[in-house]
Amino acid sequence: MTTIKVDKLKKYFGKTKAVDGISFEVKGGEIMGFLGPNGAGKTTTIRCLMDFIRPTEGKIEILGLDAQKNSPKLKADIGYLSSEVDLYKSWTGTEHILFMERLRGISRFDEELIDKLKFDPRKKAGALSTGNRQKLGIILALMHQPKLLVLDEPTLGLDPLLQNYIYEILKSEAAKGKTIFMSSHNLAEVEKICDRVVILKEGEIVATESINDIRRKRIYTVHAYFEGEIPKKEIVTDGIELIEELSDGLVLRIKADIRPLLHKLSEYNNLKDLEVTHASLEEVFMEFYR
Amino acid sequence: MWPIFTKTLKTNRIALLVYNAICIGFVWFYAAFFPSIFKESEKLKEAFKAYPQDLMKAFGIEIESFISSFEGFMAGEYFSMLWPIILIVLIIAYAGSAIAGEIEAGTIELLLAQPISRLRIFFAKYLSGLFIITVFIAISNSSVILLARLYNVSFHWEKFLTISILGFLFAFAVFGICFMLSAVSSSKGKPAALTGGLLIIMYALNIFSSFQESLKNLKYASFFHYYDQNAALLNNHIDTLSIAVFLAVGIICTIVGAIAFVKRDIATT
Repeated sequence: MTTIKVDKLKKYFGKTKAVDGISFEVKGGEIMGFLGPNGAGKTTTIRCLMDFIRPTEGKIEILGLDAQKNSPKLKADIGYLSSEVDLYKSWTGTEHILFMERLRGISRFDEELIDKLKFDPRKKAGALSTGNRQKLGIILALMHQPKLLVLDEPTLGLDPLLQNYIYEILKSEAAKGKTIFMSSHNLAEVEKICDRVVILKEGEIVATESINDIRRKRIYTVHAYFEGEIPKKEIVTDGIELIEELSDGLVLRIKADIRPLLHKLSEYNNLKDLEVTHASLEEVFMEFYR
Repeated sequence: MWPIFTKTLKTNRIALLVYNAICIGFVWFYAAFFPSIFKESEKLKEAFKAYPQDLMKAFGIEIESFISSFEGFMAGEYFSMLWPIILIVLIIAYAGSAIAGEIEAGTIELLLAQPISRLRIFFAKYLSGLFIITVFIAISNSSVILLARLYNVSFHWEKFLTISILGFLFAFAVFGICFMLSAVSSSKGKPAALTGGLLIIMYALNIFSSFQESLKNLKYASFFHYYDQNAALLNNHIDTLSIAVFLAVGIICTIVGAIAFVKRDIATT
């Protein structure tokens, strides 16, 4: 079943095209990563999903319902966490939790989440560190066991230990059948926990792929070292990108079958050494951002 | 809606106490001071005759009743400027930050992410504001009656009820404007500055209109013309036009504010 369906979504702020006709779907029970550099339109899309801002064009369906028309009803099934959790500074964590319970009903999971995250709910929000504010944000987003979690950079500014706690919680929520849609800058995080990713650039989708498919992308970096003259012109042809020119060689990138390049290099008698590395997932992502 | 209503009241309870304490302090001073003024009323009447009459009129002081009755004294000293200013500050401080303040602080996302419509959020905050205003008027004006009694000053309580109703109507209109501006702004300073600026202009218009015959019609553009504390406290009367203007402005601004808040994009920084 499709949990989120975004169809030709556009959001313009005056002449600025923040999101320009994107379409994607998130299936029930999957963890979908939403990737892109700053200003790509990730937060704008999430705010449209949450009905904080309204699309210029296009349609968003969540759990089979129009996200704008059924916004209050849908929010009973959505847990939301923003990248910088803003809280009522004079309230304690307990007061925030009680306020949410008065709006959404009694939660049976808040104590469990407090224990898991080792959070002290007696402190006022104004005195909490970034990490503890984020912990409280996660408790508030998860305590009512929503069917869908919408997270805008949930681990931004957190230490690795806390990041891992959050990954564990998200994985266990996904194992229970929850759908998770999260934006992120952190490629390692996305690789660790997401099933699929939507990659956004300048308001447009440049790829929607599973993590496994991205891992299988054939991108190679080739270091070729020569004695004497470097046959640069002959080697750097279509499909082969020159990354760096060394005093005794070339650094090349190839996004296709590597065999023709290896064959060509083998024809040069002055080829001294050759090093071929498979691109990391991060390099693959960077290809999309270029 | 109820949790947001009570949460808002809880957040503003200290401010409400402070504003009321300021009013009670002033009322205490005036109630204690009035018996000695009353004793010297004949001498004071002579002294006041030397004052420019247009100036006295412009600031809403009726000399005859100012020293001969507690209602007149309070109309000139307290309800002409001091009490409305405290009321305006209370309204602007609350309404300005009610919605725009939550957007500026980013906490609006906590509310918008809950299964509650924007209209309910708007009216929860709107009604808690009206409740705070009502409580302020009730406490500050009850203190006038209690303190007058404490100092054995004779008074007509029904006239203080009338000024309370007039004050509420005035507050309803000012609150409507400021709350509407709060619903369309993303920083709390903007609705406060705009409402404050508008009221200063209105006050100036009312003053100028009483000085110059050619400008006399400008008074109709001022809330301070419709807020006639002398008519309320001396004649126990509120003009029908005043009721109509205050209610119309309050209701129209509330409707416009509610529609704008429901339709607008809300993006925190």
